Amino acid sequence: MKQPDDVLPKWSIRFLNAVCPDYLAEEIEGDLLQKYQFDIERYGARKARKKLVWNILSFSHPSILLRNTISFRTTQTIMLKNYFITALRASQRQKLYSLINVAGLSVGLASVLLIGIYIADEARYDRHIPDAERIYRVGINETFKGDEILYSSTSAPLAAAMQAEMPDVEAVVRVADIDNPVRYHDKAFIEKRFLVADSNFFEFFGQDLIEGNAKECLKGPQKIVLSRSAAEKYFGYKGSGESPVGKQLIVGRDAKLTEVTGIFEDVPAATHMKYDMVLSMESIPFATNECWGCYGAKTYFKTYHQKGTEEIDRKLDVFAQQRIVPGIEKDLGISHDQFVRSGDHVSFFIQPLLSIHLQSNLTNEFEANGDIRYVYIFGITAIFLTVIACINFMNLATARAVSRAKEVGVRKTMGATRHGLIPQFLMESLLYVFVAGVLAVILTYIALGPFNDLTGKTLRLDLLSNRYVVPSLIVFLVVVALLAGTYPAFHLTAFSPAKVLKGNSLHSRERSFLRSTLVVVQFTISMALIVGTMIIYKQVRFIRDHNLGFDKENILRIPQTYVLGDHCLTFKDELMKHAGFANASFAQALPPNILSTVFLKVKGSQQLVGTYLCAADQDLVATMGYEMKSGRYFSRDFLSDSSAVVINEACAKLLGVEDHEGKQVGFADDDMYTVIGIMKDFNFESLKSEVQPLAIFLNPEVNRTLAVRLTPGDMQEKIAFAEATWKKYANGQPFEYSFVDEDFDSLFRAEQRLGTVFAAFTVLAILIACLGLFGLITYTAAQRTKEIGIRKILGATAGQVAVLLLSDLVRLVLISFVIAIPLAWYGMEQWLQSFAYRTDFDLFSVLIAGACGLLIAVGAVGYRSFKAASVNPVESLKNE
Amino acid sequence: MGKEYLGEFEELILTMVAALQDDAYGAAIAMKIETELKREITLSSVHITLYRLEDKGLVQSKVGGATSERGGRRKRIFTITRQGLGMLKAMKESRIQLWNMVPQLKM
Repeated sequence: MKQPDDVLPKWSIRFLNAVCPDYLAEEIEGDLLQKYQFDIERYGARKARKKLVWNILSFSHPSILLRNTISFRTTQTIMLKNYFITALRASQRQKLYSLINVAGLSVGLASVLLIGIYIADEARYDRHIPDAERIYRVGINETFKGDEILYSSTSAPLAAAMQAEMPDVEAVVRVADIDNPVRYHDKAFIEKRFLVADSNFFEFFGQDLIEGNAKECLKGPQKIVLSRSAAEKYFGYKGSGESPVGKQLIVGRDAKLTEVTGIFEDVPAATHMKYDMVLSMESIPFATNECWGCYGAKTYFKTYHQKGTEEIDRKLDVFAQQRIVPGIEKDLGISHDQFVRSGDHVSFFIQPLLSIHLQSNLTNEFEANGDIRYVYIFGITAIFLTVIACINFMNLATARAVSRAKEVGVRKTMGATRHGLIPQFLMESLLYVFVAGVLAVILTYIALGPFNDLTGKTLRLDLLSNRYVVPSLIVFLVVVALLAGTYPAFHLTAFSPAKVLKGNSLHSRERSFLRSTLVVVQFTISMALIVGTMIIYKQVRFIRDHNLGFDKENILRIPQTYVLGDHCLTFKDELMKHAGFANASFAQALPPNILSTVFLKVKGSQQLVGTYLCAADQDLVATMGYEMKSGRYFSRDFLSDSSAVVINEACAKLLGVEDHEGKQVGFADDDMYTVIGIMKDFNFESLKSEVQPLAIFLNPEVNRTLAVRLTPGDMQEKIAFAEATWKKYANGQPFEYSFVDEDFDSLFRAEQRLGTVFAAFTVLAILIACLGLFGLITYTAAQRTKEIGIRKILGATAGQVAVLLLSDLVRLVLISFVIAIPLAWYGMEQWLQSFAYRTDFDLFSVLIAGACGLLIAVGAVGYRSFKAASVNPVESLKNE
Repeated sequence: MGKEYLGEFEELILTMVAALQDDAYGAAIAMKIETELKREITLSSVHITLYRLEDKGLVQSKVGGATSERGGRRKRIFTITRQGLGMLKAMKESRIQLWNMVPQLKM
């Protein structure tokens, strides 16, 4: 009979010894063997063998492994302590080396931490809402003439219809946002974080009230619920004392008395829907609107389970086809067949709540959402920075091999095994990484303030806020330490002691090739980042300086002038008496906020053109500085102008009108206006799109927004005057204003921030890479001390030697440059695609980036190599 | 005690230890379960459960004799403690009590 011992494979004994505590190993092995014999009889040899292997492997169960810890510690602590002491000594012996390593690593780690906090914050949006993964928002897709418009607002009757006809839907809520004036005695503000919502709003989003009843507070018209800070702003509410509940606020343009029925805790910053006030839906006529084609409020719904939503999608499509489309066909006066044939379509679509912040960019969002692409860009940058920092560590460690090789040789002669030495070197890198980690946390605390200013966020580094933060940080540090330390550890411990101690040269071609490759990787990343930063800056500047087609400077925009009521014209006239105001005009909306759209057609033609629409008085062109291509703008001298229209070039082109003379344009054949002029195109939207068609109709009574052209000079004095005049007529309603050029700038805030943040990280990346280079050249120079000495004795000048040392480096930087260009070009082309007006990826900025990279690299190491080259050869050759 | 909860597998192993008496060790329990209950289990799960029961004080163990089919390796013999026996009884009684509450349906 075969001795049972043979059947347990050798590896399994090793495995079991590693996995199981010593006091258990014997019986486990015995049991395994006995079970194996038993299995052979029962199942046959093959299956028994399989079961044996599986049985052995499954002993790596945590509850077996964890029984190990005590014995493991006792055997290893002595060596661990020794490793630690050796690592400390090594780092003290090489102060410059340690400094460079720790500095590079800590800056890199701090940047990664910052980016990590940023990404974690972006990903956290709306996750505080209970059942968020079961909540969706309905949007509308309207496609006309191939032009797709995605609305986040939907029809008023949709919510009730969904609730009634979809069994999968648990609850539906409608939410609208309106900027509304709110007043309590002398405290008056225009509230921008103002919602109007159905009565189940707080229940739906799982929000508790501090005061009031969440289920009842929004029932009935003119009920309002305030956030804690809004309650404090208006009523001085501090959480105790007199409660504002039951008091009356004056709300809205029609100044209605509204009862405060509750108070909620301020909403967190990480939500796409930020609000300080919620008014009951029944307060506005939209609540009972029957029109399916009018989009006014966002519709959120919650499903019972997190199953697929195909059924809901299908029913929504039926709603769109049966309830919205017929209305449109009636408006356009076409049959259903004509509508279908035209290729136009209207449909609902749904978005998971959690995807809204990063992936949704519809018209009328609550706020400009984040962008998943920027999250990716930052994430990749973080990885790059880690890579650069790790490469520094590896490069310096291998470059230092000469001095460490002797140490390894001696240790090995004294009896150290390679397996004993590898942990020692890993311990060293762990030590560096953890010191750098602690520094990085401190750096991050310091940098968080400026970083928040750059990104416009309110991020905090709170290590204890979440029990995952510290463990994941430690895991990350260990990964970095292994990444950076593994290669040097294996490389350095591989030397044969005989060769090393005999003084054989360690110049291995393989090693210096690896080092060069790593430097090339570092510089490729740095250069690509430089090019990227330059292109982003160029694009932002391009957009800002881009001629919009009118003079956007010095235009003051005063919104919500309707609160002045009958005094609108008096207000305007009084402003005009002041020398600082050149012109003023009332309009429905000003660029970049023109949002209304309508269909126009030429008389007798069937072709409809979707255009933007604006109503204005006779002074708009003079105030805004728009230019006419042909014809004239509205004038008080022509009474017939009330039935006239002015269109822009883009609109004229789409309508097929070359010349305005005698053309009639309107909404239907019996509703026509005379075209009296064509305006030159000007941009009234973000420069991400081409100039859209626009039609301006005359309405001398329009009173929504006042545009005021200021003369250059002291702005503060003029604004103060406007405010004083406003106060005379506004009956306590708040005065607000903005400048049109700033309104345009704010459209590109995300890009501007991207540019600045990107630039900051680029500088850091270059800094870390240069630190690495500096260290590298120091050690190469040290290695080549004798060579330099001999060259100098044979007549080389210090300059020649320095150039020799530098030339390797310059070659590497040039190679990285060649690799970086296509990478940067590809990446930036992708980004630029999202702009209609974009700058080119030009050779000039690329060359600048290359020159910068080279200059910085040479600057970082030039001094060092020159110093090495100017050492007196007597010094370098006397030690032998 | 009494509040301590036993899982189904733990209860099974504890019962086996009680049943096998002086011959209760990992492999024997595993083999018995496979032959009696026709249930395939891994050896490690038996061991893990035995150690856990020992931690809870429901079984005790001592190192026993070796046989040639174990390659000369010794066994660890488990015996049930008074506590374990009490636990087992309590569980059985509560089972019966519950079972009596089930209406006697025709089967």
